[in-house]
Amino acid sequence: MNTLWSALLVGFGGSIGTLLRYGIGRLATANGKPGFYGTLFVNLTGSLAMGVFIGLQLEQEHLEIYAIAGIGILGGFTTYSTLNVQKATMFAKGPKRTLVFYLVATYVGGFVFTASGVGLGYLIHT
Amino acid sequence: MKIAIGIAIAGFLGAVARYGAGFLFPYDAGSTGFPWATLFINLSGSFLLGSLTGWLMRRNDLAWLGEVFGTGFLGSFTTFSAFNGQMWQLWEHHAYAQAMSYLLLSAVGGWLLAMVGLRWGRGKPL
Repeated sequence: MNTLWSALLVGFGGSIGTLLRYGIGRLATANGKPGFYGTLFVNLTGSLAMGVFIGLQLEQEHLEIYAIAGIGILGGFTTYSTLNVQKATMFAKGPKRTLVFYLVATYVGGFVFTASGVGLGYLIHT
Repeated sequence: MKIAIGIAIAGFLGAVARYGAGFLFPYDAGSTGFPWATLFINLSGSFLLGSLTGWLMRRNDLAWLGEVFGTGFLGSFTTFSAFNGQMWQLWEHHAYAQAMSYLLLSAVGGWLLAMVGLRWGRGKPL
């Protein structure tokens, strides 16, 4: 697979993932939820899906699908910049309990979701 | 509708930029190599989004720029799914020191850079 073609696949997936993340963020705030709910949702579900892809050996066995779905869609769907700006904003103002909840849910939750996804992926793969 | 098209294009470009940055720091997921590329992407993206968010606090007329460049481009450029995938791979290879360093650099470093960016964007001294 040449580099230009993979870059196009990654970009195409990135558009889809980004639009989904934007839509979910809009939906969360439209329902009166705090802004970080949307980010937490995309980051946790995206980490679960990344784990499944690792378990399925997608990067080793189906590189084109991995370029669209793994690097493109999941990379565009999940985000780290918004997470860090939210951490900074919540630290400056707002209840510290919410910040602690957000940190634990994101980092512990993200790792547990990825690990569970890997297990699930292995089961499907073998 | 116009904003969705802008976000889709920005998401495309953000994902391609992330894919391209991966070539600057080659990383082999099958070894215990350190994921420098993703770290660089997530740290620089957090600083840029902080700066943009801070600057937009002074410019109420440019909310679309925050959605297209912030949510679209920087949101797609940075990634949480790859971060967790790499955390899992380091863990699986018993590279616990690397995993802990990666977690701290990403989580604390990105947080600090977002705070510095927010201050700088609002026109306050660093």
